[in-house]
Amino acid sequence: MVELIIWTIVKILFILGFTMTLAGVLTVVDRRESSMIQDRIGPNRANLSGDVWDLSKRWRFLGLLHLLADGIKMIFKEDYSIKSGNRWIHTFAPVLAFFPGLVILSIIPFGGNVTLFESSTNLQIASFNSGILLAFAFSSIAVYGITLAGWSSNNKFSLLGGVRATSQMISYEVVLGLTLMGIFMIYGTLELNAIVQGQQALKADGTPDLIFGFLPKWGIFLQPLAMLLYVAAATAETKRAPFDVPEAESELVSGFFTEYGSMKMGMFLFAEYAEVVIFSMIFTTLFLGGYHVPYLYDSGFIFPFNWGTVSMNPTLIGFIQMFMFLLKTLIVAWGHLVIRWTLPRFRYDQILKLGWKMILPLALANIVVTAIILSII
Amino acid sequence: MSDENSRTLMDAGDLESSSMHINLGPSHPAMHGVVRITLDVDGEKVLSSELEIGYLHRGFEKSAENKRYTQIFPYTDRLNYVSPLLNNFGFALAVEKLLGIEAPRRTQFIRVILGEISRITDHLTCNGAVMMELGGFTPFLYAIKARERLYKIIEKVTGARLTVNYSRVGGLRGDLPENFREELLAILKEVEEDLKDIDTLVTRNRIFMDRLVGIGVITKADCIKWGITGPVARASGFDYDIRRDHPYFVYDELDFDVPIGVNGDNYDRFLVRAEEINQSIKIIKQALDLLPNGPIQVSDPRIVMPDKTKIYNTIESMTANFKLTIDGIKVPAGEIYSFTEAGNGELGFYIVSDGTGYPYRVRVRPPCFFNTQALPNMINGGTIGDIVPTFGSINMIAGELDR
Repeated sequence: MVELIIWTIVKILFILGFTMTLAGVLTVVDRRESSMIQDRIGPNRANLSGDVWDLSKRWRFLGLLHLLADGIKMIFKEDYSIKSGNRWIHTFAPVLAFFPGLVILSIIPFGGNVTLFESSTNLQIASFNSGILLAFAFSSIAVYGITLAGWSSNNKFSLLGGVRATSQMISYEVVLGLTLMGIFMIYGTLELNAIVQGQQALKADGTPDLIFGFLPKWGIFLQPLAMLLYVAAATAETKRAPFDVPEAESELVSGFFTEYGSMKMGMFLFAEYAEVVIFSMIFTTLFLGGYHVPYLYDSGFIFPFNWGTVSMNPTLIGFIQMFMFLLKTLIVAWGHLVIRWTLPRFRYDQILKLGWKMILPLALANIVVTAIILSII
Repeated sequence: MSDENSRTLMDAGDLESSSMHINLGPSHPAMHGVVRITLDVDGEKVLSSELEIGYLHRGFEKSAENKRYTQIFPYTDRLNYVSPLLNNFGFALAVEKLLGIEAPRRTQFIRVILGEISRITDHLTCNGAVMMELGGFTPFLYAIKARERLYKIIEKVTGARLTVNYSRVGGLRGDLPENFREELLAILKEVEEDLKDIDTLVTRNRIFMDRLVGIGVITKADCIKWGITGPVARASGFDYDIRRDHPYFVYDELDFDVPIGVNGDNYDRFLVRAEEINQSIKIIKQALDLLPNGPIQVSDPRIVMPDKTKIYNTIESMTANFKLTIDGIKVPAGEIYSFTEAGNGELGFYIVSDGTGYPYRVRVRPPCFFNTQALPNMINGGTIGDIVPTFGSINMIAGELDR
């Protein structure tokens, strides 16, 4: 029992620490990457040496110190609270927008089975039968944070932003669930660890179960359409460009967080990046084989085309798998950021049209086709 | 009892509702420059809108009455501050017409070249703003990058990026720098690369087209009714370009096309401007080939300041310098309306002279005043999201609008 509690605490600290750090780094990556795409210099002022002007004397760590500088700035700004409007809800809204998303981390398997100090555990905080449904449930709670922020600010632009966010997120909630239905049908479960296991299983006779003899049975290969639809729907759900109408700066000033300042605004901004990380983790889990390394099984590598096998220490495999999961997450998150700097923004009604009239029918068609193929096989 | 039941079963349509009144501006990120649009919206739909201008009124016309003709040039820089050279040359042309003189041929070519560079910067800024307001920050920065290259060559010629003050009555302040032709051609090549980048990023982009096609439509008939000229009118199919129809400077010797739109929507305006940039580059290249040598100022000592060495060494020149500085250029009494094709359309200067060195009255016909007054008609019935690209594509420049 004590062992279980200690393991759980360690796992919570690890995954929370990883998510927070990555979300923080992503804020800098976003700025840095956009500057490279746009032929600018990007963030380069924050440095440890204190010399602002001489480039050669600065220790800038690729601009990563801006993460600290931004955080310090946000925290020390005046904590402005509005005079009119509902002050309690106004203060509570960013909390509601930020924290429920983090609960989703509890169901994500970020590694296989590891053994440390003669104690073995699965690298997943909680394993539910309902699995991914919990992710949907908690990501919907974030809608309340946005809506309340828009409503309690007593600002017409905030209100419009809140209304936009509400309709957009509620519409895409439906779409999001349906795009993933094919995955659940193929792997026959909602539990994320079981889905990951299903993506790289061995056949009953101990040989690897591969498509065409070399492709692992990852979601991305079995459900390519669902993957595209899910990326679109999830981008809309995280409210990032091209779906960023709730905060469309050229139309609604700053949308639902117009009336926010200091760390309260920081929480909205940070929540966006945390959502990107969580999205990337779910995407990795469902479509990229989770923590699996291609051809690496519980006993070691089994290469296709009878190229031989390499047996490895199970604990080492566990850590390689964990590292692989984090690496995949990182790559997906990076790819997710690129979208923002390439595409213009949709209009509010076009987003809803896209969700209901294009993604939803396609997702339904995907389900039907998947069902037919499954019943034939 | 039945009454109470029906009251509890009342549906949402019976609830009292009213439209929301929103102030878009004067300090709003999309209202570049300062202008205020008050909107009545039902949800996202714009029911009615009202435009309020005048936040950047500086009294250009009144100030001009108290300045000598040469002193007015810096003020014209601040009219359309995205293409200041076009205003400079437009005003110079008006005064020259009133004086009955014509600038030397070299000057006219230089005016065409620099004017077209300014037209490119104007169109790049406008198209860039449209892209940025649709959330495309990357293509916007590409456009600004291209504009920056052109500003650099303008800076090299005039000494300033924006407040150029380059033109004079009957000539220019100074000649072109050395290697101007080579440098300009190199820069134009880079600009063409940038334009290609922008083109591949947005022009056929599905989201971008969805946001612009069929939005902010103004018909050809409406354009004529409102007095709209320039790219906005041409995008509606109104085939009118002053450079071609009433040639000034040396435009009649140059070969260029006037792009015409069909639908008069935001997308057509975007395309017309993009094509005009290409045509301007074509004009510049031709003008560079034809650029003659010769003086850049007329030789009339009553109009042009004598050479500095002469001022110090001869009494006639010193007197001329004194008279020009104190009295200014004595423009014969009369009135003139002179119009040129500026970035936004017909830029007209109406000048009344009473024979002194100061204009009796100067009136500017700012092209975007006419474009902007049609704006409420273009945005009514659309959504809030449509206001920004429409407003961007008519290219309101507050300095010119409010004068």
